Amino acid sequence: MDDNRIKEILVVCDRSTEINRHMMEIIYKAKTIAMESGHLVSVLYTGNKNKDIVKGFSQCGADILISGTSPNKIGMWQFSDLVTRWIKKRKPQLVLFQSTEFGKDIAAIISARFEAGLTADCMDIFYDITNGFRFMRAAICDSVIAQIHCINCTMNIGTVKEGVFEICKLDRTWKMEMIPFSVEEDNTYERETCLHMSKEEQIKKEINMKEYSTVFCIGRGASSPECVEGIFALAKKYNACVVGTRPVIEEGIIEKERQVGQSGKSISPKLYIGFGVFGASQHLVGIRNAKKIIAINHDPKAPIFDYADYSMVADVKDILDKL
Amino acid sequence: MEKKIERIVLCIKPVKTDLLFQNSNADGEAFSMNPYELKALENLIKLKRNGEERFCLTCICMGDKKAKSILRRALSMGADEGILISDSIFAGSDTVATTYILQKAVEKLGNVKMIVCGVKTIDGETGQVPLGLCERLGFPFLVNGNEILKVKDTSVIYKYRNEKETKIMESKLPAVMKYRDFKMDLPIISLAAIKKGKKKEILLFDSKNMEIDPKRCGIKGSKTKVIEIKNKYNKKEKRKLEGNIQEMVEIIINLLGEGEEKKEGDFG
Ligand SMILES: Cc1cc2nc3c(=O)[nH]c(=O)nc-3n(C[C@H](O)[C@H](O)[C@H](O)COP(=O)(O)OP(=O)(O)OC[C@H]3O[C@@H](n4cnc5c(N)ncnc54)[C@H](O)[C@@H]3O)c2cc1C
Repeated sequence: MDDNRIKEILVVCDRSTEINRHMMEIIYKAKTIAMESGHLVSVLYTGNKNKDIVKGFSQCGADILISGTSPNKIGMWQFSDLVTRWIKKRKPQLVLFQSTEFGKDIAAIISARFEAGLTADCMDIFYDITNGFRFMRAAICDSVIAQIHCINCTMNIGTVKEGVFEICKLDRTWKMEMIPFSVEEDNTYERETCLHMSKEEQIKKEINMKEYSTVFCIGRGASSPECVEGIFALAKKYNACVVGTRPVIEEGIIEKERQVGQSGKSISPKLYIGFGVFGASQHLVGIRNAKKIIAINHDPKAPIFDYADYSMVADVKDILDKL
Repeated sequence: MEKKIERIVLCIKPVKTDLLFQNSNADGEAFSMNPYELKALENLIKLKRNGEERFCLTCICMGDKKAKSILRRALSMGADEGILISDSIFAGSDTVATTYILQKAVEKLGNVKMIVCGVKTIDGETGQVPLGLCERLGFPFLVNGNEILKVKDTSVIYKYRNEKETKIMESKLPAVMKYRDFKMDLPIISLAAIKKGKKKEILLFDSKNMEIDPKRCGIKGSKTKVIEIKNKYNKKEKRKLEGNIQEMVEIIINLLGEGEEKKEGDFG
């Protein structure tokens, strides 16, 4: 009986109180895989539940919603135990987590606990009958894409960053199965105590880069006050979001929230224009999902040109003057 | 009787130097310290220098024999012990296998009150090691720190900073810390310090003296396998423009026009 049970893909949502875009992207991706592989998509969720939230899960492709509202913020070890419990029950072949700090932590714990292969920050996932699941991820500092296959284990784990996959709402007529559970309060493990806390002086405005289809990136080659001013003016005109490379953020030219790359955010705009950006792999990793890339750099050998759709060998200033 | 001095273990990942310094001159060595661990190392050494903190700072580094130079540098900077974890059968280990090997190393060392790992490595492994290690060793605490402020007998005080707040936290030990701060430029080490560092021995841990199960490490013990590597970004239209600024500007304006959409936003 156990062997011919329907196979499952389990999507584990972070401990947020609401359904969010990131969860939906992963669930929809899981559904797309499942439609080819014949898996079911189950979702483990510990946030609040109401009609709209349930509908949200259903619309992006969940077949089974395993949910229980946790009384307050559930700790890392307790959450791991919860996931462990449901993995043992459902025996999924693939478990997907959100690539957030929390999701990645849990994924790593589960990987060690079940001795299961883990591919972090997947850019794509495929399934075929002979090979099972295959994961694509950037490797060697994003210069190449590696195709990864899990071996010697029955369960595969992957984490997925926000913005990697698209959401599409399904116009569905089938029913989603609901499996409730309860989470007890348990503080046995969380024994960190906060001795002192200070808020950062200015509470900065949350910049939602995801909402912009055009992004201008300031690199060190465009960090002079005139260039920065020019880029901001242009951004206003075309409703673009301004982001920057790490050195530009470190020099305080623009806010930390606007850093794109390995230690910043990943973005997937329709159009990215890099002004004086060198193209270090730590930066490129954040823009690999940009649909179109224009790079302006006066050095014809700048590595960003290898990734750009439009390589413009020119001085940033000359271009800005004419725009 | 006096208590034995306990260890703080810093796990240093060797990364290819040319990944680290792409836009500047590398310093000759094939491998460098991952920038997060470099920062943690300086932090811990400073604590030792400042006095009261009593712990043995042990740097462990798993990798190629060439990575030995990294440990040598750590010892010159002020670490107490350097352990190179190296064996041909370890090659190709993924995180499942790596955390197993590191677990064995920590157990062999014994007397460990805290393990510090960089939150990630610049060559793309995304911080699964500290978690897996914590899980395998059964350490009860996993903390995120930007700076270690004080190591006490049974607890550690550290700073945690994110976009919204800075917290001074205290956690009980034994703990694994994910160290979140990094540093890119190498510190300059005096000749005297280099000499002193050279006197310290670097121990080699291998599969035999750690009593490793060969089936659980290297490619055999790994749960993931890279089946194909492709150069990325095969882009559709690729145009290189040189010289004609006017043409470039026109292209940009055209593309910007296409991208212009409903969304209103304000910032700046
Ligand atoms: C652990 C770690 C994490 C990191 N995380 C990130 C990250 O999240 N994001 C990030 O961006 N970086 C990150 N970095 C840094 C990264 O390695 C690079 O140093 C950085 O991206 C380079 O920024 P840049 O391109 O602006 O500057 P530079 O490397 O200085 O390049 C400037 C470019 O501008 C060109 N230029 C100069 N003047 C002009 C002009 N007038 N007109 C046209 N072109 C001009 C130059 O030819 C050059 O190519 C990280 C590094 C490490 C070690």
